[in-house]
Amino acid sequence: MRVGDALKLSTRMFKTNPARTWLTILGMGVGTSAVVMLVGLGFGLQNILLEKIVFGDTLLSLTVSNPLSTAVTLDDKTVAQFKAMPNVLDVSPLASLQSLVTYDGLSANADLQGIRASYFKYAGIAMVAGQPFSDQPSDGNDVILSSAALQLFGVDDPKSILGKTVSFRVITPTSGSGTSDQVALNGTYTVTGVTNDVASIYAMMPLATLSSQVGITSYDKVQVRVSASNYLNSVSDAIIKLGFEVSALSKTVEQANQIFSGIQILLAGFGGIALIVSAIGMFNTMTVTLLERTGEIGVMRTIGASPRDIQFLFLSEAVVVGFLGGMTGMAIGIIGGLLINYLLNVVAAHFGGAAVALFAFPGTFLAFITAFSAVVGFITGIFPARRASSISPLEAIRYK
Amino acid sequence: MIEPIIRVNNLKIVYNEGKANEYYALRGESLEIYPREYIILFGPSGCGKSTLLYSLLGILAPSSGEVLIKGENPYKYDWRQMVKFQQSTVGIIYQSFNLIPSLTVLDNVALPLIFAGLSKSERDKQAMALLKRFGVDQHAHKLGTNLSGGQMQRVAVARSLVNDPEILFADEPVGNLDSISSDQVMGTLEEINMKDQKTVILVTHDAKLLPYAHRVYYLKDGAVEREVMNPEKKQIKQTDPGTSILSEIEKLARIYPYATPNELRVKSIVNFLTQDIGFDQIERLERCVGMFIDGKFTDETLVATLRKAVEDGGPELSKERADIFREKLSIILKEAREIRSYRDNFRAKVSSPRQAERLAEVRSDLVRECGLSLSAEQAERLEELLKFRIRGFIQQEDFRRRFETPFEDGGVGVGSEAARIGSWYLEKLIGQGMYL
Repeated sequence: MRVGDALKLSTRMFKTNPARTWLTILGMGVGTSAVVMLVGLGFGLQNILLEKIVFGDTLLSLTVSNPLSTAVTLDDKTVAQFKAMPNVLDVSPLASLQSLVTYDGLSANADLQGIRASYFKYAGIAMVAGQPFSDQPSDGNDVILSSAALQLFGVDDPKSILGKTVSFRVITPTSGSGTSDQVALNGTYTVTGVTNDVASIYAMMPLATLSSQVGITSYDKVQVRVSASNYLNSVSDAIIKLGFEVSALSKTVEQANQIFSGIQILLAGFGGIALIVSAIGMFNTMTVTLLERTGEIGVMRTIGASPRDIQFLFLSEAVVVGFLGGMTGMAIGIIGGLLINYLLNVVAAHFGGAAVALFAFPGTFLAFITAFSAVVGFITGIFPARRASSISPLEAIRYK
Repeated sequence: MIEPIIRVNNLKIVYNEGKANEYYALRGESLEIYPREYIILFGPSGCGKSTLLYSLLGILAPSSGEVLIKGENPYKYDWRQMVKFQQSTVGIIYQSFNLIPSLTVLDNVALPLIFAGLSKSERDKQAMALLKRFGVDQHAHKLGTNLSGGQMQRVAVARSLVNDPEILFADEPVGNLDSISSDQVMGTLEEINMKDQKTVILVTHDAKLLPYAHRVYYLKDGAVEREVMNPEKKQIKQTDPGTSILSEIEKLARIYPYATPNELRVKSIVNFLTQDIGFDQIERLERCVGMFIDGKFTDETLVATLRKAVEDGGPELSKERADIFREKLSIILKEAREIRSYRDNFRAKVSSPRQAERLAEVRSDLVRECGLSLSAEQAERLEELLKFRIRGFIQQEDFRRRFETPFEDGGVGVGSEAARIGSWYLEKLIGQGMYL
């Protein structure tokens, strides 16, 4: 028997018993939709978290910091050494000094960091207002503040501070004495941006500007950008061998992903229970169909259908119902998820919260559900199909 | 010598073997069926004829014994060979047609080819050709359930032939059909046997179908009781001269298909004792009388046909006898009409002097037939008696009793023999009159 013919023969139930067939499909659909919706929620939550921390360059960067011992320090030499390592694309150091920032007559303690433009990408620093540096000589007097620093100055709207000027006094420790000197930096600096960091108070200026005013001998951190993610470990190992401490955001993301896979499996498990109930319902329908078609099976067997043909017909019918159930389930799940998300966002907007996408349905997941629902259909069809093919033709003909 | 296409050796089929409800459906049958034969397995329900058919079809394994089809035992086939056997060697039609209701007529016919894996265009072509041949092609795209019984069965016949099998089985194919559809389907099967040269094996309990077969196997209680060849068909099974003789009993079996051989013997003897013509002549006589009653024969043609020789299909009566037959027949029909009119008028409460004249006419005919001569008083009493009987107030027995009761005791007072003949004759007249 040809596959096309088998399909034609096994979709007859849409004509003979449309109500029951569609109800069976709907049953499978509701079960599948539970899985789709719950797992979609898992994916959505994962995305919400990762969206905040993940940028392409950030994931491919290693953060190198000074070890507790003073055996080695990050300086221009080591930076050059890192840069010369194989598979290292770029290196971006951060120098940090204690300073007093003065804005609008108020002074506060803040870290003054000297960085290059590339540091933003590698460290994954996000801006809430303004622009990061662009490594042009024109931004020599630009400065970027953290949101935490803004709060210190009592500025609520980050945009309002853009274009305002600040001045710095750098605190440099005097070697040996335990006291420190304060050196005022020449000139004033224009705020051109605000980062989203609400935890630490700092100001950033181009490294070139900082080093022209203050002698910089060592760096706090160095971002090492590797050329591809599979070199993260080898480069990291090489740097650790030199005695530095290395952390990678990719590790954190990996761990988060693991946790979320766990959550997704758990959610899929809950949905799976609904799916099992639906599958049992479908199995029941297939068994009833078998009884109903017994006579027909007998007739087919006496006009040249092999037991395999009969088995094939029943299995393809089950797969078709399962597959369509999966499709229906995806439609219900996605529409339901988006609807819930929309309602939540309406409520959130009412209370002044930000809109989020709670549900996400990656293509691979949907493809998996499509295949999976067909497989569930197949499994529910196995037993009825076996029975249909093994029934004696004579008994089948005489079955009333 | 042609080899049989089907050979059954000592076939036993037992249902629920070894259990309390053990049932012997077939008790050791042996038979041989030759290619291109039309065989009927005939018997009452439960005689095992369908069991035998399904066993030949390959779906009911023998408890013991052997079924050989084209020299091979289908119950030794693996499933592939079995499918091939069912696809290319045998075809079947059922009493209840068994079309698949969810498929169109065309797809139903093409279904065996679908299982055989033919392409759509090819199988539709073959199926359509068969539908056209059996005159149901205009329904090709309807669902099977929207057809009449006769059409459905012709579709089923087309389906059974689409694989071009050598043997066609038919399980009570016309059991659910009216007589016109039944004739069409039987004609189709005969054509398949004669023109397409298929072996046809038909199961039925309907004796009307027996003339279609070359040979009939009479089954009873799970055994072949006898095998009867149809003398009107050229036999395919070759028998050595002398192995079988076509006797009157075989001819009788066709007239009385449900009678056992013993009953047939009895009928044959009683026929000889009571009648001076044989069953053949009686049958032909019946045909002549039938034509006459239907008004298709005039008096002259009736006499001429009655005198026709046996070789020409007539009952070959003598001239005198034919004349007597004609005369009596005319009188009986005339009196029957009088009785009919009398009853109609009586029931319509019409009173007319013709009513009394009718009674008098029947009375005089009855008297003449019994060879009596009655006094005026006796005749008056007989008329009174006739009135009661014809109106339905008294039974045949009452009539006869009062016919022979002595005149002094209130009867007509004829001899008991005359009374018997008289009431017997009267009953015939009444009976004829009722069904005019």
